[in-house]
Amino acid sequence: MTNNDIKEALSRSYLATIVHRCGHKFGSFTFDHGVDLTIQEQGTRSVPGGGIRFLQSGRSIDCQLKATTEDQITVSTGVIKYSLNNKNYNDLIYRRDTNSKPIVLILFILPQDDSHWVECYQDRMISQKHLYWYSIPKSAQIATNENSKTTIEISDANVINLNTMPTLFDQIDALTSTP
Amino acid sequence: MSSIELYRTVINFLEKTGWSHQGSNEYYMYYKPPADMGFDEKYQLNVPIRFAATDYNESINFIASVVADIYESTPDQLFYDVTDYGSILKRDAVYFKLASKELRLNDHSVNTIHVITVLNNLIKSYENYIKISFRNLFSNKYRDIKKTIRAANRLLEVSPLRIVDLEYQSFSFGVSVDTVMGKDAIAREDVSRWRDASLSQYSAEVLNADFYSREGIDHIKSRFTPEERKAIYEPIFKAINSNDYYLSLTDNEYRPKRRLNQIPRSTEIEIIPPNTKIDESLRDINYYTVVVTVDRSTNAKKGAVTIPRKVLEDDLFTKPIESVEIDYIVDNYKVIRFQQPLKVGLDSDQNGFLLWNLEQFDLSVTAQSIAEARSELTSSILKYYRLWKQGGSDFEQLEDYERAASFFSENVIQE
Repeated sequence: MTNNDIKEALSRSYLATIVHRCGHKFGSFTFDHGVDLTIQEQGTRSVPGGGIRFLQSGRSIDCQLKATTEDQITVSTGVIKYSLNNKNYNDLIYRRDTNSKPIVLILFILPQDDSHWVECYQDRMISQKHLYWYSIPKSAQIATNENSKTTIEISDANVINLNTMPTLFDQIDALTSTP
Repeated sequence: MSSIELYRTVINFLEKTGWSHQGSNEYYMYYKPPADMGFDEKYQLNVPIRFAATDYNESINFIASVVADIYESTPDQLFYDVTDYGSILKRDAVYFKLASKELRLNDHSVNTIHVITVLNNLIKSYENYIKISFRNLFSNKYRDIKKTIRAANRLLEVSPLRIVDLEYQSFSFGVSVDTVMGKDAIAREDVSRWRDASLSQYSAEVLNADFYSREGIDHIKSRFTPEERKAIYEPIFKAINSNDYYLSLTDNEYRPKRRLNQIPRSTEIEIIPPNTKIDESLRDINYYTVVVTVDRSTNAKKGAVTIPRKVLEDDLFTKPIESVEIDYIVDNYKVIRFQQPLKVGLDSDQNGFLLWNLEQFDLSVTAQSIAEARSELTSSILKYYRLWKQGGSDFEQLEDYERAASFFSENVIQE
């Protein structure tokens, strides 16, 4: 596998670990339409007799995954800047306008030193480092030069971890209400 | 059923069963469940309403399945009270009508050969569309292309096209994909859901394709490679382009919706350029031993044995195999027998070609047909045998000689 393939595979594993630990489903449930992966929310309801039934809530998040290293991003106060290929940028705009639900970009930022990407010890494994989500604004327009890049700004509040994952579906839902 | 109809059906069901509408935006209508259903207070169901979205069909079908799951049912049973197998198939069928062009036939009845032509080509086109679409969508889920094609063939085995309705007078019929049976045989949930939509996708992309405008032709060309177009569209062109009958798409009461007009020759050539090769990678090569009877009292020297595929899979005396053993060869009319046989591994490669492996000589032959594979393998074995007989004097062939010697010197028992 090339380094890019490895980064992509690690980004899926990292996201899958967080999603599964929070009790949701993760995978390719849709086909085509420019979606890499979908996170499906799982919920519960009480049933007669005191039991609980697990079921799909009906909410899901369509994602495109990108993986990069720390030297490829710039961090300012409250914002992470990343240069996205215009082809991918335009793809997000196209999907924003033609998909039935919002699509988000999930950016996995790995350490620059690849020896720190995954570390294995006797009693634990560490996978680094940060996962953020980004939604293309409604005001964004198609970039005309597909061979160039557009810098996107990701709020550092959009971090995805075990604490924020439970509210991610609410955050994405809120996007649909934003004018 | 269209996705809009399904949307209306879901909304009607929710409102009928006490769900309350909470509001909407450009993406969703929000519904809260009845209080006694045991959901968390914050829970609400998002019903998609971006009807023009490219993935709307999948989204509304997903929500329909979520609602059905809440009520521990299936969408068919919950929304339509449909449990009858035939009714489910008829509901999603595509309907055709054949009418003869012969003016002397008042009832426009068609010749049986024309019915056979249409049905055979429809099946071929549909099956190739399924294999190609399955490969393009799901190949990253399987280890290699061979396994992908095998999974697609397995899907076709449990989901054949069925005639679900028939009208003799005008010869009209409805075909549907069996999406009821075989669910247990499909391991992947995404494949199962794709199967449910496969006939409507085929209908949209192939039967209702726009062959008459620049945009339509360009879209077809962008969607599939020339080899894929040959596999999918060539049979349909054969079904449509007849001087003997008209072929039309109809509704489920056989009222004509659209006549499938003849495809201009220039369009055929543009969609399937001359000399486009057959997509061999769609082949799924399997090997069997089978018992056949031959009447040697006849004087016929030539003849083909036809073995129906169903017999291959059901017959007690038929076995799938992965290798064969060769315990003799013939060199210049002399039979050379071996103590230990040569083992030939039988396989196929990613491109749908036969791939036979001779382990003892570290040798593989690739061929398109059995005859070609047998010929190549036999001449390779003979080459090694003759090399061994000559001795190892040629330095350039020393490695091959050593391989040949390690087998033949120990195993030749009769010359």
